[in-house]
Amino acid sequence: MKAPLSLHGRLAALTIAVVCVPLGIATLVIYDLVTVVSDTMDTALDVQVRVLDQAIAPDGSFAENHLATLPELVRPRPGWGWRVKTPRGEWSRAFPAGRIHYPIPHVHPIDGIYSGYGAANSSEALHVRRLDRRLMNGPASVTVIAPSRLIDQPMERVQRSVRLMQALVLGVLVCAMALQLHFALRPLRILVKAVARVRSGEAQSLSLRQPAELAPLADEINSLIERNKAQLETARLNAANLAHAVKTPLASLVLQLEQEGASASSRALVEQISAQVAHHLRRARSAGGLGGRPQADAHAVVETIRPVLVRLRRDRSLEIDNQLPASCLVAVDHGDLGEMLGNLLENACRYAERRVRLQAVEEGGAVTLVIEDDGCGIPDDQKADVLQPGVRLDEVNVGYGFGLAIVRELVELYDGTLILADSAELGGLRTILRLPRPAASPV
Amino acid sequence: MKILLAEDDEQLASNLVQLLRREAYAVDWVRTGVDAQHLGETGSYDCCVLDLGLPALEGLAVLRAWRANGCEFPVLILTARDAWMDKAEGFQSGADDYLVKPFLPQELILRVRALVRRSRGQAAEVVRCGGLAYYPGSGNFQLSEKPLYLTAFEIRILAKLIQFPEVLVERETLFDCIYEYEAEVPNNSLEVLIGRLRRKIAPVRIVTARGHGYRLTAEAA
Repeated sequence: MKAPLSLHGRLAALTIAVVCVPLGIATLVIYDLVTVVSDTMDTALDVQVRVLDQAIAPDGSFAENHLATLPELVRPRPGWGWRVKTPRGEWSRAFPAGRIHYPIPHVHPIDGIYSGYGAANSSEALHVRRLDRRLMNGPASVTVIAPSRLIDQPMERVQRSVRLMQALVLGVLVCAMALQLHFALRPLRILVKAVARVRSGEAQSLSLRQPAELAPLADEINSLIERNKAQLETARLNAANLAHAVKTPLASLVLQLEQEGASASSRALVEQISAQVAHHLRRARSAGGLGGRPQADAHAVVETIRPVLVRLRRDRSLEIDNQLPASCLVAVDHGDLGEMLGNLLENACRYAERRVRLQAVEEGGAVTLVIEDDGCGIPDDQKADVLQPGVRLDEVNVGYGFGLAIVRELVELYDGTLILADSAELGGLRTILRLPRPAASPV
Repeated sequence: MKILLAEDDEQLASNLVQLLRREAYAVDWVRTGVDAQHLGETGSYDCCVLDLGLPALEGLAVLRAWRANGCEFPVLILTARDAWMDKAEGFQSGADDYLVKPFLPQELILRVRALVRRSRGQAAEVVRCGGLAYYPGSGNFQLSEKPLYLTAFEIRILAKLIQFPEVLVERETLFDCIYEYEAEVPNNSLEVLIGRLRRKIAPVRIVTARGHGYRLTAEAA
């Protein structure tokens, strides 16, 4: 489907249409002016034609002495001239050789006198008036010429000034339109930026201080944002409720199967269901994409979950060396960061011999968190596998799933990356978690 | 040994009660947070298995109230909430362990045993009194290196007595930790059980301190 015309396009088209009307009128006025000037000239020429016509006798003879009534005929002005043709002969004065044509139908005919146009051999353009007569002994004609420049030159002057005026008006209107567009559409551009800020989480909603035309739009967008947020919150809550609703009967089922001495395959099946349910509910619960402006301190999150990790490994003393800077902010929801770091650290603690170390590098718009342990690491060919849901490397350890899959999915929700490598320094696994940094706070 | 089970889901609770009883634990089961708080503060328990989503009073609130009132028994949180921040909050509120539903029955039992053992300061793998040996990790007894087969009630009594070998255990304490709340107990039942135990564990003896309680001893009469 063709996209609708842009606002700039619409306003420009409208302005051009509005400007064209006076410009068109000006052109018509010029045409009228040409006609008026040429008619005036014709009147002057027609007087000469009449005088010449009166000098023609019915038998075709020409009484030159009759011309004395109009001295211009005796001594024509430069460029002017006349010619009389009768069956009895041809009389002329200052009539140049050249070509003249008479458009048909006749132009500006007045009492038999009509216009013609031509050029002298000297290339001077000519304006011509001619009268045809029929005498008893044959046709006669009277032709009077004047230089066209007498009409053209003043008309060119008028046209030049009118064109200049038109150009000026057009220029002013185009500038005015550009300014109008710039100022009129400015609130719209600001609104677009504000919506982008809401999307990136820098703002919660749009300001309602908008021009009257845009205020309802901003209001509607705010309602949409609110509804979207509410729906996501509801979905999150539903996921939590669903988790509770599904997990408790599942727990019962596991116990029941155990008590009834069910086969290992049935129990494995339930375990598989449990793992899938846990995985997808965790994902559903994630705040990634919830909007808002998530921000969490990785250092604080590690310290919050440290007691959980220590309790998990009560049998062995383990050093969790949190070398993250005191305020290590990432643009991730607090709970989601807890899930990422919790799962990664649980892994590290599970496989570590004595030590787990956390470090951070801040570069550009991202924070890279590096978790290393001194355990046995993961063979290269299995590194990709452990990022899949439900895959567990160490079947001896009790627990559903390996936890790395959900971390990978959460990280992807925040446009981050998760890379597994070998720790050159500690000898175990090196987990590299790259997450976005919060945008600088607006002043 | 007695466990307080706070769980509002009837099906799961009844399965859990069966599971724990099979492991010779006495179980008091409550459905609401208010009941859990009351029993925890008034009864004598070796461990509590606490659900978080309890009606009337949230599990974490119950736990905080217990800890604020000086209830020291170990608490294992059993919940559907598997977020790390929930776990952290559970431990901060005073939990000793955290298990997410669904779970493997063996795992629950292992964790409960470990909690009970740790709460008694029993770091050793085995507790001995003369020829009698108790393995808190597995809950098994041996007499003269041979397995000893006991009923659930007998295990509860002997596990309690062997915690304090050669020390007097008050009758009320013993009574409290083997009989479930609201259980119908005949007056002389404890004496009957003790009598049966005496025959099974000889030459180790259970000495009666009349009007006070009982003492497990390896000394010859």
